[in-house]
Amino acid sequence: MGASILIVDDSVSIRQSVRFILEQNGYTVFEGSDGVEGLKRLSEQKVQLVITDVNMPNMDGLTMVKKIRETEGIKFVPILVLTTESQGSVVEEGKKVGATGWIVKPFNNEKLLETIKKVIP
Amino acid sequence: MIERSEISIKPGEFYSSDKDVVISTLLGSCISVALYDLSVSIGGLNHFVLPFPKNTDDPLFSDSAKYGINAMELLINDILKKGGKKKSLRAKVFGGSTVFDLQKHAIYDIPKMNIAFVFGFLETEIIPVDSYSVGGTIPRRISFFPHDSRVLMKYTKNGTSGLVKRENTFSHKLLEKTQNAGQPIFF
Repeated sequence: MGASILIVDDSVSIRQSVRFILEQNGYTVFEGSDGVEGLKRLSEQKVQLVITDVNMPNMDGLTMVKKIRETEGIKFVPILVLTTESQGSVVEEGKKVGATGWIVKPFNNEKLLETIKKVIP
Repeated sequence: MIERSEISIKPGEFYSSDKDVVISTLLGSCISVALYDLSVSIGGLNHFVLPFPKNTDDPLFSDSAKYGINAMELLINDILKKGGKKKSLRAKVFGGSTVFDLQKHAIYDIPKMNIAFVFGFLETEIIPVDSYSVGGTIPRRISFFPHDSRVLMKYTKNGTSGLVKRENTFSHKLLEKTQNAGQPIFF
């Protein structure tokens, strides 16, 4: 069985779209619709990678990244930010809070898979 | 008579506002979605197209569809940043006309694909559609009033001589962009 990946995005379309391509390539996928749900999933389920959006209700993606980096047991999980945000200051904030990498949407299926393989070979 | 600022958007663009303005665009095979949260009088309009054939049976899962999802997400995020709530969003949908003969003979039906995508997306995101006017063969001119969600639409052939060229140029630019799409930055 492939690695487990948590997708956190408030857009059902994005979650379904990422799930589709990951499951086709053997990954096991879990979902959260915002930062709060993302943290809850991480407390229940061990995953090898988190892919998260930035702009989400209740708790945004960068706040969730910061909280993950402060939480024992999950603080070292790699986190890719997948977002429409390309503004330098937001990307810098992502780096500051501890994201592993940043991908600006729209993503390309092959490049996403290549990126994932670089992070979790 | 009320004087309003008018913002005109072209293929690939979007605009949202909490002001009493009018957002307009001219549509051929592209799609425009007017999205609004009436509880806070904020709304916006986009103008997009899926750049190449879908390679799956589902309208939401192809690389091409991601450009549509992205166009919708950019508009949704812009409205949310201005104070709208996703759960309160409603939509009106326009466009997807077959505006020139070549498209009728294209290897894939661009307007039909765009229409299938947008309704699939709105259904998936649970955004109710209040009204729509899609398909046909005549371009549409859309004027959207984000403050009260009104849309004025008229079929027109005036000023549409460059429309097909503009929409095709936009589509080709998107196609070029896909080569480098999703290039990651590692920290």
